[in-house]
Amino acid sequence: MIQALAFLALFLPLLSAIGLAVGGKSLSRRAVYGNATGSVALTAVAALVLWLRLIPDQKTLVMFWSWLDVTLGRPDQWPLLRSDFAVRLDALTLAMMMLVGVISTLVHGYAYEYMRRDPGALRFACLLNLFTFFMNLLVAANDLGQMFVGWEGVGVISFLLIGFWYEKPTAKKAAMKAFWVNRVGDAFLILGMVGLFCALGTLSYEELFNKWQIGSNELLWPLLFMVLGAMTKSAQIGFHVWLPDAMEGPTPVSALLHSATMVTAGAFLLIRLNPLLQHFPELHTMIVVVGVLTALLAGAVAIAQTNLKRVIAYSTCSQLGFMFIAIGISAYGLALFHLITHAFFKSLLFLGAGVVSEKCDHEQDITKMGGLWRRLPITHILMLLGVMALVGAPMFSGSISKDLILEAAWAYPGHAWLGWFAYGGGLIAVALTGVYAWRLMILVFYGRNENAGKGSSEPDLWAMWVPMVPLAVGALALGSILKPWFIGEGKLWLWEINFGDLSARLASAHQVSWVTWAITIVVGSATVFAFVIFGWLRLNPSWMQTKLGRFLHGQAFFNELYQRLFVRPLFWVSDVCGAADDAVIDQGGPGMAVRFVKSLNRCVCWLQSGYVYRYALFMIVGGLVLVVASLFWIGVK
Amino acid sequence: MTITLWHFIALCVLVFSIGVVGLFLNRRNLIMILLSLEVILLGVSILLVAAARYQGQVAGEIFALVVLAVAAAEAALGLALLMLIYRKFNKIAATTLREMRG
Repeated sequence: MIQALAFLALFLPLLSAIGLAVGGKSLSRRAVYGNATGSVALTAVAALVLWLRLIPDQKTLVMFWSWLDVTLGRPDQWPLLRSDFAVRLDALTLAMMMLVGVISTLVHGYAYEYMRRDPGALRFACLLNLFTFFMNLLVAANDLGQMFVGWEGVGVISFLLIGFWYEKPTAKKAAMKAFWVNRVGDAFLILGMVGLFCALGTLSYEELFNKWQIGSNELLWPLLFMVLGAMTKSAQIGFHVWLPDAMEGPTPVSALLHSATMVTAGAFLLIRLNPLLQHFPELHTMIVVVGVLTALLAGAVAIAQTNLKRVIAYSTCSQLGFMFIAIGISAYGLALFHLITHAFFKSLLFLGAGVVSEKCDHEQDITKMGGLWRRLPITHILMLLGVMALVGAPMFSGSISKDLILEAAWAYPGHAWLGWFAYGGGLIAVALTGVYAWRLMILVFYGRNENAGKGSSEPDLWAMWVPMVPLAVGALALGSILKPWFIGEGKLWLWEINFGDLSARLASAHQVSWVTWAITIVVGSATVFAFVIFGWLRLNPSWMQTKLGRFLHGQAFFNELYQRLFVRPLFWVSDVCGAADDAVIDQGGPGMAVRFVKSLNRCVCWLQSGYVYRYALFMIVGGLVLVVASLFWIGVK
Repeated sequence: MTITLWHFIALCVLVFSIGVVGLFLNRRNLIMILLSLEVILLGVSILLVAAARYQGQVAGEIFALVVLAVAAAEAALGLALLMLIYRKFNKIAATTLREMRG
């Protein structure tokens, strides 16, 4: 029973994708998307049933088969490298599977209407299904091997989906960029996996956690590489350049992959590895610094962006920074909490952005929008809920998870400065979040540009906003519902996530009342600030013209820096190699053969002159030669 | 000086050579090529008749008649082809007709 459910939960989207790829041509769009959405929804239901049956009593491992089984050297001395296709049924996996299933179902439903005029709708459904499969493979893994398969799978599907409109050169470039940056992270991940395997001789999570002895320092480097790999997937500072460009893909892709699920794989990996990670304060310091810097930089850059989806993409970066802060201060459960709440409100924002840009004839420049709340009333309300959750309005899900992270940071024991750094940086990032999120709402929905979306005949399609309603409900209420599961002495997560002294820390934070108040005040003043600056004074154009505005609009010039540091030297090296290849191998090998054949060809061509009398001459000369030769032959005989 | 077979052979070779040289020295006119072919056949016929005469057999002479008939047919066919070529290309100069150039 459990075996069958686990099988369904893992492989149903794959089966659906294969079925659609083979026989989808003859189906209508409704049937294709019904099939795809249904399979993903069943995955979520299977995960839910498993959760209800297993949690909180037990955890199980369902193994399907071994796909990697290697004996190195003599089997009695060297460890066996093996990896299984399995589903590790514990709270973390099931929570992630339910999250992926729910978001994916809603996005599939949204894509049905979004893709109504696209000839590639079938391919899109297949790819979304495949993505869901690989993501489930990643979170269900019982060892790093299967995790890596899923990790690479989502990378490839991400490449295909960013470049879904492959006729657009910008989309092709963005897909290549995402792929290459993620390749760097994959290299780090492989280094980390090899390091862990060399140190402990296994890839299975369970054995990794059990075999490691506290006090030995040999895992520092492998874990550092794992963290770097997680940073690329989760678009942390320095590796974040691919995420804003990934917005070239269709909007459902942004909502599913680049906000809710795939980019959280890095944070998920670190949460999964927390029994190892928690013994390395150096790594924690690094993760906190990276998280704070990412949250600040991405939040600041988002204030000066003009592209609707790019603002939300940088917001995703910034929120991922919050998750890293939570991981860095050992509040792994809160990182997962924020991951879940963020998934809901961020995909809500993306789906809303898709509706808005459809209404404005695929215009994505928010400075050209305004006054859309009258033309898109329902979308406006749904997006307002998403933005309030993102900003951290009291009682919304985003505020609850973010408040908890900041409080836990304030009460971080040991390295006091780290806690202060995380808390202070987090507060500034919250303020930045408030400014850019409200700026987005003001420019898109409240500005006085009366022309935006006026000529468009697109109605406020119910098939597009209905999938957003559950997300809005999640953004509104999920935080309060899930809060008791994540804080306190819930034994629910104890096997998986090391809460440490979290509840004590939160209690100590609650005793100092200003810690919580400060967050609310910051959110409120950021909101007021944004409305005064962008709504009342309408300073957006002049803000974009300031030096800082231009710097932030240029995305802090990371792209230009990388162009100089990596892309151009790479092109230079490949130019040199290409020239050498051309001069030596091409000219020496096939080039010579070509020249020989060509000169032979010229001789034969000269014979075929086309003059009848010359052919006659050849005939006669040939005949004479034959006669003379035969005479000589006879004479010799 | 009596006329022997070798004189006839020399005449035959002379006529044949004139035909051959005419065949490919001529650059202007396809009709000249046809004429050269006639000359070549004529030379061969002379040899056949002379050889028959000196051997005392009629087979060679009969064969020469056959060659003449074939030559006449060939001339007719060649002239017909020439007509077609002229209609198609509006010229019959051997130097400009080189459709078969490789």
